[in-house]
Amino acid sequence: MTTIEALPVPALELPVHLTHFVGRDQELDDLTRLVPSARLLTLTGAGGSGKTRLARETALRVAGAFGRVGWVDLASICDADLVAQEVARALHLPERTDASPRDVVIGAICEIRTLLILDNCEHLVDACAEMAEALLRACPRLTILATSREALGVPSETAWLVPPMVSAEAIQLFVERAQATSPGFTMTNANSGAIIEICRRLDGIPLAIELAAARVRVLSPEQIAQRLDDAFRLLTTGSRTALARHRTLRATMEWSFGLLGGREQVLLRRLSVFAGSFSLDAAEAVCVGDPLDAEDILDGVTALVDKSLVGMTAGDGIARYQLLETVRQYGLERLRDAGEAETIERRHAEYFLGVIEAAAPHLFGGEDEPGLLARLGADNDNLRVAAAWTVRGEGHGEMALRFADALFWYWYGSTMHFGGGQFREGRRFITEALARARAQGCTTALRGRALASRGLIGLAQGDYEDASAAFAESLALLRAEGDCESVTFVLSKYGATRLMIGDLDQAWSLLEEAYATVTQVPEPTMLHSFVYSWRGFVARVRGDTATAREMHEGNLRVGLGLKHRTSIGHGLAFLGAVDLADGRVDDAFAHFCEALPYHVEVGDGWGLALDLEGLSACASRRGRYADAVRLMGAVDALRERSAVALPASDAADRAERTTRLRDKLGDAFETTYAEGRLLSMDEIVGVATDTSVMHTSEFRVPAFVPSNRDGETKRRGLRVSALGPLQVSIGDRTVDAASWGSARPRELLVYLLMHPEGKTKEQVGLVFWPDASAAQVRNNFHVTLHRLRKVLGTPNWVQLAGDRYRIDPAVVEELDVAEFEREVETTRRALMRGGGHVDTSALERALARYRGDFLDGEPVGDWHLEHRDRLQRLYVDALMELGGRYVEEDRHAKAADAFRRVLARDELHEEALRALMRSLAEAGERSQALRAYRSFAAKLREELEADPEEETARLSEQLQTSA
Amino acid sequence: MSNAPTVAKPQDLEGWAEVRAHDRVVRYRRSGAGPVVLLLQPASAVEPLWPELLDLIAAGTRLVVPEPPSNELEVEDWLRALLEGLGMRNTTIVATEGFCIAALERTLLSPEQIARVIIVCSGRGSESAVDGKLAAPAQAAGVPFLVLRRDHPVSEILPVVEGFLRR
Repeated sequence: MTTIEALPVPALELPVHLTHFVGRDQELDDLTRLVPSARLLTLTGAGGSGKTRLARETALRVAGAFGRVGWVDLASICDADLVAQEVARALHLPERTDASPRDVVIGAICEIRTLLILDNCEHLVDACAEMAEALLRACPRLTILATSREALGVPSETAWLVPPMVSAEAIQLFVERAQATSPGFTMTNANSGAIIEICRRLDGIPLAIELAAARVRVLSPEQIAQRLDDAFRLLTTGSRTALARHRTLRATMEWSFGLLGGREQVLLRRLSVFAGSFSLDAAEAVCVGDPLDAEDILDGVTALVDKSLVGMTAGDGIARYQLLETVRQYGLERLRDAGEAETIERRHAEYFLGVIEAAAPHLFGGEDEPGLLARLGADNDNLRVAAAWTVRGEGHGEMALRFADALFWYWYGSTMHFGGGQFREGRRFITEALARARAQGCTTALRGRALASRGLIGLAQGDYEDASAAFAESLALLRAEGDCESVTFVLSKYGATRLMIGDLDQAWSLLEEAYATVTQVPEPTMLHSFVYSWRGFVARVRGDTATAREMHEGNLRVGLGLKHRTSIGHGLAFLGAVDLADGRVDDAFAHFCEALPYHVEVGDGWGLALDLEGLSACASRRGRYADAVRLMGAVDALRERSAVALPASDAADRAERTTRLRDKLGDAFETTYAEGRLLSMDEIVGVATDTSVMHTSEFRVPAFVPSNRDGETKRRGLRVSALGPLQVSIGDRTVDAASWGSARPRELLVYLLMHPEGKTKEQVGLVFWPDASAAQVRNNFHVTLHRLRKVLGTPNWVQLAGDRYRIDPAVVEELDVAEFEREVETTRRALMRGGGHVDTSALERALARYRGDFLDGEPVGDWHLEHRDRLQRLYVDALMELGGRYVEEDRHAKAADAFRRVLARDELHEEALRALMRSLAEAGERSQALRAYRSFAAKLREELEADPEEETARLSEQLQTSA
Repeated sequence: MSNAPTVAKPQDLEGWAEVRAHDRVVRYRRSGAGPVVLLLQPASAVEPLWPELLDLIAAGTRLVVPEPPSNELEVEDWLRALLEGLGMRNTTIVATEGFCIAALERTLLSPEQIARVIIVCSGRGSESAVDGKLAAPAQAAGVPFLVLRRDHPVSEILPVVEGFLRR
């Protein structure tokens, strides 16, 4: 689904909690009744009292009464000015230069019955109050549900103090959370008194109860009650006020923290530097350092999840972790107390600078790696906090500029993909970064690139004068530095900006210079794409369609060469525009139709607008006036939603078309136009690509062939030998034991390989950690998966399809188990069919794969026994057949060797023994045959206290007699 | 526990804000932004506060003025519900007449919530409840407080209050 399709009716997006919501029946009933008729209802109460969970459950219950529901988490927002923008982002509304974020929100929801949830307002009370009041005044159908330690104090607000849990619910919560930690836990007559005391002692505060319950793996309820009593002795106030509850929670946090090992304490306080959620990779990069090494991070995060101090969500197959806001605030205090804040914040900023700088080349001009933007989006809060850190303190000016340079294409891409926007925030950030950098005398090259980002924001937002000024300054700095590549890029975008303003002469001059430079560089690069595209655009507007066509064909060639969907789409759409200018309507239609799927797939609002505008022109010229007007309505609605301006150069054509269509349709124009504005993306595509628009019967809509897969043909394959000691190779490299860290990741690899259909994490959990709780399974699984992916080096080798994990079959070059089974079965079938004329060497080769028993020597779980036995049977049976074949061929020495191999695997295989004795006898080795018999009989006596079968004994006697 | 959900909600924005806590509904009005000042005075005060003092307090603060409780005997519970429901920390309380005792009691029980207290008692010292017995433990709670007498001239009051609010 594309963003554009998603925009009109966003899904209900509420935070995900992995634990089951317990109790609060009365409160939920009250709130469900109150919220639909309230204007502003604020859940107040101390941290840990359950405001967010209650808000979420309430929102779930009442969502049906609203046309639109938006959840805004303000926890990571530090700047009061960003509140309105965050609301707009949560509602997927675009940024506009001609309206404030607040006005954009008002415009979008003033007519719709909307429920807005503002979570974690306490650090921004005044800003939230002001925002809420303005929205409530302007939007009579709006209801706001807020959570805050403090009331907002807005007229018409109801501040609703979240009460402590009633006793029975508190006990239920304790028992459920204890069972999540220790599945066998039950409430008994023996421990019920202690549990009741714990809940009473913890004043019914949900978070405090969860922290205490997480300890039942190590401490009995009686011990927990006793220790809490000791810890809280100084707290007794006798009153059950909110403040007392705050103190209780604080003391519970202290208690819980105090029970952690020293390394876990260090880890928890360092993890609090993350805003929102984080990955294990990020935790490793940021938190490692005296006294923690990488293994401490993985084990420590697991331990903290077990103790309910860290929550885990299994995103798209990659687990993410998050501290509850209350725990995070506590951890930050500890971080500051330990004097580590500056160091860890710097590491956090450096890590995310690395992340965004590594991603930037893949986002340049549009995402070229599917899923990259979504992955970065999960770290949006961290990127924002990391960037903000560089302009907060002193001496980080260079990092700030690098963020400014690297973040633009992420901002651009996420705006296109997910709606909402961060350009306004980005512009502020760049301004601050430049101010700091100037003060610190940072290099001109960095400043030049940061200024280019500022210019790009202006260009994207339609603020062309600001963009021109930024590009001009950027260009001067980059020229001075001799940064040729950046100069060419800025020239192309500066030229585009001048084109948008209508200054064709300067645009052409800038693009001519860029063209002269870029043609010195071998194709294909994205620079070629930018320069060709904009030079072609200007050429068309100047009436030089031959040059325009040459440029856009060049851009298409570059796009295909790079397999860059955005460039391909733009190349095609601009060729359509040139076709229209040349009066080649059929060709134009074909080009626009071909471009459309690329723009839909990428979620490129700018490109879509280009296509639809062109297809409207095609329809108009072919006499399909109503469709032409519908498409005009559709493209205008799209431009508003995506904040994409109509290029000034195309305004005249649009105005002429509008006039013409008004004449043709008369009064029907307005209603038809309004219809178009309401079309869904599917309907738009249907109208736009309707072939009946064409008069030529031979016309065919070009089939869309996704282009992004072809580039991944060269892969480093995975080879696994599991028969005998485990060996794993990736490409030419054998993975050594140290790389695995522990045995579990390689066991998971083999387990998944043995189940190519995939396994859910619950299935894996049952096999790997049968005694663990569901929460522990999730966590263990993701830690193990994380380690496995690190070893493999390519995360998507482990795929998530539906809810099943599997190893991408395309990367498995060899799994000896599979090869062995396949080859043995094939040759055995051939032997059975072929009678006496079958080559036994194929079977020999197959059997040679059996270096030893399945996973021999590996510390693996019982799951492997079934496979080991099956493979061993197959091996033994095949050897027996091989031996039998050699006997038939009178190759008795070879036969004896085969039967010996059977006995080496299964020393009590009596049939193999008899066959061996016969073969040795035939080969003239009677004494060896008799030795084999005696050895076998002794072993049988020793192990089973039994004698050989009568047939075997008789054979032995015969051999002795004949000897 | 229910927070008394039966009262109809105001649909306009010109009315009161309200707090629902401990089975009570307390209404209030708020103005301004900044540190919180809670003004406790009866609906029809015997001796209304000096208007100049109100102007001084309102400047640069978030002024919260609750609707007094209908039953004077419930002032302590009413104030507790209001303060806890609002959830505000570092509140400055300005209390007059019958609210003085409740304000001091709250200060003793929840000193972390209250930044400072201004007690405005009537001009007749013998009728005021503020005497040395209560003042001493209030100081022990670490919350600064200032006692004003209503019969003081406003010109003397204003600089004292201004200095106190800056502490």
